[in-house]
Parts: sequence; C-alpha cells; structure tokens
Amino acid sequence: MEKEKRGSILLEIVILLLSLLVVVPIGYIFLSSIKTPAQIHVPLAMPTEFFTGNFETVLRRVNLPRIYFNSVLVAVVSIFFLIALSSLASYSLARAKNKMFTVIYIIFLSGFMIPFQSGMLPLFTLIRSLGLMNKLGALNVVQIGTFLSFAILIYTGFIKSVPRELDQAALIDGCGLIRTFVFIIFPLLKPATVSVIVTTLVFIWNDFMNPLLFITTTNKMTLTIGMYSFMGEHRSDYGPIFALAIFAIIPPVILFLSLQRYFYKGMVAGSVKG
Amino acid sequence: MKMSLERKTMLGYFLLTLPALFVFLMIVYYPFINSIFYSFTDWSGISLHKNFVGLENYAALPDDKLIKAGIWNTILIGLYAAIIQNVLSLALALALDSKLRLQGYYKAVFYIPCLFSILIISPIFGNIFQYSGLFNALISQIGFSHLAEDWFGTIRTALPMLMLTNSWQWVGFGSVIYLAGLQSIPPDYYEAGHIDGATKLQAFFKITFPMLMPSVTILTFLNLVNGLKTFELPFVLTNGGPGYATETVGTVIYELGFRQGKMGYASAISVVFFSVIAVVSILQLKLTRSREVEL
Amino acid sequence: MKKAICILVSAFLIIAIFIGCGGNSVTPAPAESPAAQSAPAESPAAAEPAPAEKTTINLTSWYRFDSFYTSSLQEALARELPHIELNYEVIPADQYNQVLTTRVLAGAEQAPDIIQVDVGQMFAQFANDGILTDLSNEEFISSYTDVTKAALTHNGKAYGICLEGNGAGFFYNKDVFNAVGVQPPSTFAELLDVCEKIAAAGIAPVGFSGKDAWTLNWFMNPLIANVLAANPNFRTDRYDGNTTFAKDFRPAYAAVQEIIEKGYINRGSVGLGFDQLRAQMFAGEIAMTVQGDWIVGDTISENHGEDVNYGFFSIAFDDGNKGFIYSPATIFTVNAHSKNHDAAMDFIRYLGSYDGSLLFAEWKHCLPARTDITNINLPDAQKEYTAAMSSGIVTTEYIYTYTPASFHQINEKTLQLMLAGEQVDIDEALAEMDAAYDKDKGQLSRP
Repeated sequence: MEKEKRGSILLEIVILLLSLLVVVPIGYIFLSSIKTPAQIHVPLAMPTEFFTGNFETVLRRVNLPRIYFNSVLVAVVSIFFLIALSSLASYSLARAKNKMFTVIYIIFLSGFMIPFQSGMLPLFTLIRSLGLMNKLGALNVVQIGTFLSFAILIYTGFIKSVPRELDQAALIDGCGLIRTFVFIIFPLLKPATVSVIVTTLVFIWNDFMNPLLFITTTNKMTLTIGMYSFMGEHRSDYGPIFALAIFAIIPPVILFLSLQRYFYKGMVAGSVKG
Repeated sequence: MKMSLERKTMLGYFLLTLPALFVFLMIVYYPFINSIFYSFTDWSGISLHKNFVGLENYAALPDDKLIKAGIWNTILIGLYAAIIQNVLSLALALALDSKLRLQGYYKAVFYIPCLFSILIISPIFGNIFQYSGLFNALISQIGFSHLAEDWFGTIRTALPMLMLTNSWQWVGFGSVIYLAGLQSIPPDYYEAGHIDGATKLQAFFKITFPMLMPSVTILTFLNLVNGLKTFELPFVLTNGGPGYATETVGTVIYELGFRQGKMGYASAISVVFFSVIAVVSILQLKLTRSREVEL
Repeated sequence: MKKAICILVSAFLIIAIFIGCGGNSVTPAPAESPAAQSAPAESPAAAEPAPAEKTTINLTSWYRFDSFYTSSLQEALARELPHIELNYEVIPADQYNQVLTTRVLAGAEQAPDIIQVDVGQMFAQFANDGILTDLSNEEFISSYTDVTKAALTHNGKAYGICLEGNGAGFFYNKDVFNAVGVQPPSTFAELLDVCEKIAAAGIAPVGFSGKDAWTLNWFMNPLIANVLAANPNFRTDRYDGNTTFAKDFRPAYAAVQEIIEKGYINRGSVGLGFDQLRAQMFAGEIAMTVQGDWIVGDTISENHGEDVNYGFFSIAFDDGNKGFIYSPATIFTVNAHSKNHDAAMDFIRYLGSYDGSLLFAEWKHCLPARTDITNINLPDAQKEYTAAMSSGIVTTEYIYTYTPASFHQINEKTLQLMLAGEQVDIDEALAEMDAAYDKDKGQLSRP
C-alpha cells in the first residue's frame, strides 16, 4: 500500500510539472497581450502594467462582433451539415453488404490523404463558378467536404458496434430507413457525434487558408483572417495579434469544457448498454 | 415495376449516401482529378497556357534536392507522430485515468493547446525559443547556459523542435480520445483479471490495449496521415528553414507550385505523394482494424 | 428544455444557412465599429443602392495600407473623392502572389479593382494577359524618371502608379558608431576593420533577420549592385550564357561569408524577425545592416517622437566599382476588367497625383517616385542615400527581377545555412544557383 501511495504521488508531481510545461506558452500569450509595443519585441520583458492598448486596437481596427459571428456561423453550419451528411452516409456504409458500398467507403477514406495544395486552384475556380465567392457558404461547403472523410471514418466504425437487431426491430415496426436512422440509431451515436464535433471544430475554427482564398471583404472575415490583418509587409503588430488570439480561443475552450462531460458520459453509457 | 424489398433497401441506402458523396466528389475529388491532369502539363500556375508534356514531371522527381529533403523530413515526422506522439498520448491518458487530485484541471490544460491557431503558436514558440528568448534565459538561470541555442535556427535542432511544438499542440488532444476509450472499458473485465491474478502490466496488454483498439486505429491513422501531410506548421514557423531542415513534402509542393511557377511539377509530386499516403495508411488501418475487438 | 434548445438551434441554423449563402442584405450583427473599416456594400449591382450613391472599389496590397488609410488617406478621400468608398484588403506578402493569381485566374472581374503588383514575373504576366489597364497617357507617368517609367512599362505601355523609390545599402546607427568611435567605411577592408572595433565594444556589428527570408535577399542586392556596376551588361550576358553567377557574384557572397565567419553578426539571427532586428538596432544592440531604406521609415514610424539617428554608407569591393539600387516600389495598378473602372481610375489618378503621392511619402518617410516632389522632409539616412547615388552607377534591377523564383529560394537557403553556422561552399552554392537559373530561364524575358 505504501509503495502504491508513493507511486501515485510521484505520478501526480510528474503530471503537474508537465502541465506547467503546457501552461507556460499559454501564459506567454496572455502576458504578451498586455505588453506595450516597445516590450513586444523583447521576448523576456515582463509587462510592468496592464496595458490595454492592444485590446483597444483590436476592438478599434477589427469589427470584433462581426468576425466572431462569422467564425461561429461557419463553424456551426459546417458541423451541422457535416454531421447530418456523414452520419447518414455512414449508416448506409456500415449496414449495406454490397461491394459497391465498400468502394464508396474507400473513396471517402482516400479523400483524407489528398494533399490540398495542388487542388487549391481548381477548387477556387469551382467555388467561383458556383457563385459562392466571398460568401461564407463557400467556407461551409469546403469545410464539410474536407472533413467528410474523417467523420465517416468515425461514424462507420461506431455504427458497426450498434447491433443490427435494432434495425430489424424498427423495420418490423414499419419504419423506413430514414426513420430508423433518425429516431433509433442516431441517438445512440452520441459519443461518435461528440467526437466528430470535438475534433473538427478546432480545425474549422482555426482555419486560415480557406478564408484567405475565398473571402475578400472585411465584413466577412473570420477570426484567423482578422489576425492576419495585423501582419504586414515589414512589420506585424504582435500585441493586437495576441489580444485577438485570446478572444479567439474563448469559445472553443468554453465549448470543450461544457461538452467534455457528455463526451465521457456518452462513451461510458454506450459501453454499458453493449 | 415492383422492386424486391432487398433492392429497395439497397436503393434506399444508396440514396442516403448521395448528399455526402456529392459534396465530397465536388470539393475533394474534382480538384484532385484536375491536379492529376495538371501533372501532365508544364503549367506555371499563373499563365493561361498549359502544354502537355507527358511524364516529364514525374521523371524529374528523383533528382531534386529540395524534394529529397522534403521526403526525408516528412518520413521522420510521420513516424514520430504515428509512433512516439501516439504513445505519449496514450501514456498521458493512462496517467490521467488514475485517481489524480487535479483531474479536471489536467484534462482541460492538456487539451487547450490544440485550440490555438498556428498563427499564434508560431510567434509564441518562435519567441520563446529564440536565442534571446525565454527558454535560453531559464536554462541559463539553472546553470545550463552552454546549451543555449537558436533552437529554430540551427540545423540540428530545428526539426526536432518542430516535432516537439507539434506534440505540445496535439498530445493532449490524443489523450482525450484515449481517455474516453479507457473510461468506456467496463470495469468487470479488470475485476475478472484481478481475480485471475493478473499484474497491472498483464492487465494492460491483455485487456486495456485490445479494447482500446478502435481508438488506436483512429489516432494512429490521424497522426500518421496528418504527420505526412504536415504543411502549416513548418510553413508559418520556419518556412522550411534553416536551409532544408524543416522542408516537408507539403511545403515543397507549395513552394514549387505557388512560388516557383511550376504547378505542373508540383501536381505530379502531389499525385505521387497521395499514392504513398494511401498505401501506407491502408496498411496501417488493416493492421490495427484486424486487432479490434467488437463489443 | 431539451426540445426548446433543439428548436432554437434548428431555427438558428436555418437562418444561418440563408445568411451564409446569400448576400449582405441581412446584417444580424451589431453596427460596425465607428473606426476605419469601410462600408460593406458590394458591387453596384447590389439590390439596395447605398444612400449617398457611393461606388465601392476594392484594393489589395501586402503592405499595411490600413495604417496609411487611417492616418491620412481616409480624410483626403472624403474630401477629394466623396463618391468613392474604399474597401482595402491586406494580404501578407508570403501569400500575396498566390492568393491574387488564384483570384485573377478564377475570373478577372472577381479580382480587386486596384491591385498592388510587384515588378517582375507577376507584373509581366498580368500585363501580358490583359489584366491591367493601360495608364501610359496619365499625368503621373510623365512625372517619373525614365528608370521608374521603365519599371512600370511592359511591351511599351505603362501600367501602374509608383509611390516610392527604394534605395538599399548599409544603414547604420550613428549613435553606436559615435560611441565606439568609428567612421563609416568606404571599402570592404575598412568595413571589416570597423566591424572588429564594434565587436570589441560588445555590440553586434552587422544584423541579419533570417526569419524573414526576403530580408536576406535584400541584404545581397546592394552588394550585387557593385557587380552590376562592374559589368552593366551582366544580366544580358548571363541570359545569353556568356558568364555565370559563380564567376560574377562571387565577391558579394565571399564578402558576406567573411563577415559571418568572423563572427561580426548578431547571434541567433536565423530565428530573428525583421521587426526585432529593427528594434535591436534602434536600441543600439546592433550597429548596422544591409537592407532597403524602408528600415529607416519603419523605425521612425515605430518610435514616434523619438530620434532616429541613422546614416547610410556604401562600400566598394577591390575593383572599386560602386553600384546603387534604386528600385521603384509600391506600385498600384487598375484591373482592366473592373466593374467599377471609372471609380477605380479616379482613385488611381488621385493617389498618383502630386497630392496623393506626397501624402503617401510623408506617411511612409520614403523617397517619392514623382520627381516634382522635392520639399519633403527626408530622414538623414535617405538624404545621404540620394546624395551617394550620384557617385556610382544606379540600377533598378534587384535579384527578384532578373532571376527565377527557384534562384531566390536557393539564395535564401544558402544565406540561412551560413547564418546557422554551417560550412557552406559558396562555389557549390553559386553553381546550384546557376543550374536553377538555366533550368527556369524560360520564365524570364531577355533583359
């Protein structure tokens, strides 16, 4: 018993130290955001006062509510449709025993491996011909397409662990495919859904390549492009960039902190049922 | 025409996949097919003219110094991510699974790094690890000043630092996934094992690991493919430097296609690269999927 | 409770979809902040005409146009061009060419109305493809020197306004030099001597900012100008294959290598950003650097009110030839396919006029391109530069303009490797640059 106790205290200390390692850069961001412009360039300068100028610059130069709204809009709409489309498709891919569906599955999976750089230009032409240039809808569509592979990977694996008997029971009761899926299967997919949300949200929220390509007016900017606007030819205003960064991580942090309970709860519940 | 129930169901299934398939083919495959087409041309990416050159681009691949450096670094990063970073995530998850006092705090702190954009992490880490930065200052305080380096500006240390930065961001993320998997393993299994006299190590290999396989599959796949595709971090942090130390296939494709006006050539690299990633990841999936235990 | 949330979320999503795929007519966000941002109204084809019948034109640049706009341009525009609303977009230099060519390729009407274009491949390409408006007959063209005009001209037609002429060379902190007790050198040997004394005083003699790789290219430019002074036909000779970089550029690279190997540089230069270099030079931790004269203007802007006591000097190699770079910069063009062509032309005419150009030069503390702007208060360093130019051969051609991108890349990598302390064989590196040049020569036109 003694040995175990000592072991666990040691573990606690190690983990605590590790967590400090993680916290230091984060703390650096906070500290940098309250540094005066003169101090920003000197990495070691500790802020002597709480300089609010950076936050003021951000609020002045960037329409914060607007770009917040844009980022949130893109994230929410993209994830909503991503979940809808991928879970539906995964249902078929997991249940149907036809060779054709295996092919489709492979097509979806392979998409994940495609490096995006060479596809940038034709994608751009496509978006333009769809009339989606400078519309947030373009970002939505591209994000959905980008993450379908991953979402389908997760959902398919998960659906396979849901017993087919449930489907059969629903069919016997007279439910069509869609009703079976929406009312019976989908609610059981909560852990998978949360996994998809938790993983893709971060990428969508922080994406800067796509908005840079497709958004041309300032009123449609997302948070990441907002940061870019402070990076210039010869000089970048790092103070406002860090200030903006703090604004940028608050929603994901809140989302994660509130979702993580359901995340773990869902996983545990799912397994007990099985 | 009356369709059998089975055919009707198959049709139904197919229809359900259509929306996703449509968006997917449009956003992912259409550009890719296009770039396959470009790979057979000498397109510069800017001009309106494209000339067919057959396999010339592919033939030129093996001789390029830039590409060779990119490939080598990419392999290292891929292996590091798929194996070491993966194991670190698992180790962290195991540690967090035990009864630590500040559990809630740890779970949050280790996950938060992945929420930051590269645009932020890059100047931060760049600053901390500069020659006159925080890290060198700290190690000088404790007497290790002779180890001080320009961490991102030295050939030997640039790539390892890049990998560490990547880990700082993603190990916590992986541990969250693993942790969820760990907590979904019914305790009965462990009890049964305990009764049978299994040691902690045996319990891990015989119970935990096999039951964790679905998470292992996903995380290894993610780490491997993302590792191989690494582009944003070296692009923003070091731009492939110093020298060729942090060039990856991703940055090479970007450099050639967008900066050097060799879009046709870059497309050829993409096609080959994609094939390699596909083969490697399929092998990996087969390996880990076959070990999954269905509940 | 749960149901209510579901309904709320669905409603939000439905509204969101319509907003996302639609235009700007629905604005659920609170009113825009009162500061500099321009009105969101898009092209005049929008459903509701803006109240004062303003035309909105879009401008893209990589330099910080927003600072210029907020400091003096906005007011001037409101006064001179009240019928125009300016929407500007700053795209970082790293991605500028890529993003812009993507947009232009997808449809020139989607591209901005006013485009900042750099001399070189992109300029030539855009001119060739008919993207740019011919401005040959505009008033401002005649106010430029032949050298500037040439930079704006492609196949006999002029396509842009030029707001700045950049010099480049050794800019130094006079206070540091005075404190150490050295005079600006005029030969390479003297330079090494000066560096030795400064290093002995514990200050980094020559500063590099390797993190911003483009500054490394610009470090080489003035040194190579000496080469071009020795052989003014170098570019043509090289294109025709009558000489090589390995031969003619060697003195410049050998000089840099010597400075680096003797340790006369700032430690940790590879990871240092250009803004940090400026800050350290201003703080007296670095004595000098080789760069474009924007380093002076930028430092002044960053340290408003404080005295920036910088000077300029140039050195010759053993053959005694002195070359200077005068590079037309900050060039704006008009998109020939713009939907708001008239408004765009009005804007360009204003910005390129005496008033507009003066406004810009005063903001940026730079050498204006218009020859009729003479009563501008230039910093000492730039005055010295202008004076020095008359003592040597001036060229507008810096590396970017007569070499392919693959060349620049090898150049940057070579310098980075030298700065990182690696042993670099400059003959081998130059041979590589020659190979890259020969391979991609097709991208260039004969000088």
